[in-house]
Amino acid sequence: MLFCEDVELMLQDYLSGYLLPSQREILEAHVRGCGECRTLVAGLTRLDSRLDGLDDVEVPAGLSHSILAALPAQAYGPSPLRRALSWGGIPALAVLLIVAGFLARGRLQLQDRFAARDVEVVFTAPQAASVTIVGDFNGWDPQRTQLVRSSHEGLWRARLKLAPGVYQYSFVLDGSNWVSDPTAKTLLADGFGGENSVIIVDG
Amino acid sequence: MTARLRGLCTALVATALLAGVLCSPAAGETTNRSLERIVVKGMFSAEEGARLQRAFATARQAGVEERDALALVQAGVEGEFDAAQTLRVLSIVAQMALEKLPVEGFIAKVEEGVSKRIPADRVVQVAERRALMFNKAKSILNSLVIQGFPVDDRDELLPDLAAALEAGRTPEQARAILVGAFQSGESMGSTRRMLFP
Repeated sequence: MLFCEDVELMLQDYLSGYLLPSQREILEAHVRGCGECRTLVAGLTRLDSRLDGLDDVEVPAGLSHSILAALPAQAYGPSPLRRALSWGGIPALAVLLIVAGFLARGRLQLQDRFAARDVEVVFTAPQAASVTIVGDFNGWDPQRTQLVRSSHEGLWRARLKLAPGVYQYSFVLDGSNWVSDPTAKTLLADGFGGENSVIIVDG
Repeated sequence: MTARLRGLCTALVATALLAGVLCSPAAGETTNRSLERIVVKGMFSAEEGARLQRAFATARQAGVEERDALALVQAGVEGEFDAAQTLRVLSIVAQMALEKLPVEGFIAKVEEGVSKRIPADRVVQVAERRALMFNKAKSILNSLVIQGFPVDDRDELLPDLAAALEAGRTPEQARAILVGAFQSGESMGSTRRMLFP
């Protein structure tokens, strides 16, 4: 049985539709049998739909002026740095900041494109004593990446850091039983007579 | 060889190789010494050991990173590769490096086969097929570059394209998918998804 704290952790992903079908089934089974979680889910679902139903609101002209006018002067007065700058220095500083911003943004975007992503792996194996994941990302070493049992229903999880790309992988139960991921969208023949699951990590 | 003995040999060889590389500034010499220890441990004859050293040095000269070449030798030891099979995988990886192909996918296939306890000759055969797919993938991308398509992410796309070919995409299908993706300005992520059946 899934614990209520597991449901709380998974709830946002559930409402956003990010859960895997197997995770969704387990969560919904818990919610059906748990009054507290049912109330929580119903409340958040209502809130979500109300927020979705709200119209966009135009910010009234002069709102920031009104707010600033209502504040004491020292709360928003010019900073010592700003006072120190002459009017001639401000445009130059602005140009510098814009250029630096563009450069930093380009660099960050490039870094971000190749940066490793957090990928959560979930596998359901109520009878297993241990579950590991092996794949292109860990040398196919069954000792390297253990999943942790996160519920009494046999839900096992691990968090991987993977750079964008395509990876083949498999689960190993109890050290010797190789099993494909039933939730994988793509399975490929491994060339050895079995098959590997495929995960595509977006950049 | 029993599993226990195999484990012991693997540990000895891996330790010897890694210790050799890490403990001395003269990495080339120490790697040779480490490889010599494989011979000392009786895994290969002296002649095979010498050939292995030469193949290792050739792979390094071809541009294979030391850790990659060691990973391959270590996988071969774990998978009970004989000298000819070890030399074969070292020679393939050297060839790939010379052709500026990424070698990680090839090494991963060897590691996968060894981990799944597949017979060594089959592991070499399947890994060799993967190397061929990298060659095919490179040809496809090169032909697209020649045709004027903006293949800016060639290095990034190459392993994915090779995997798609391995999965059963024909070169014609893969080429058509890539042309469509380039023409419509698809992101790398959606191009990858389209490549897989």
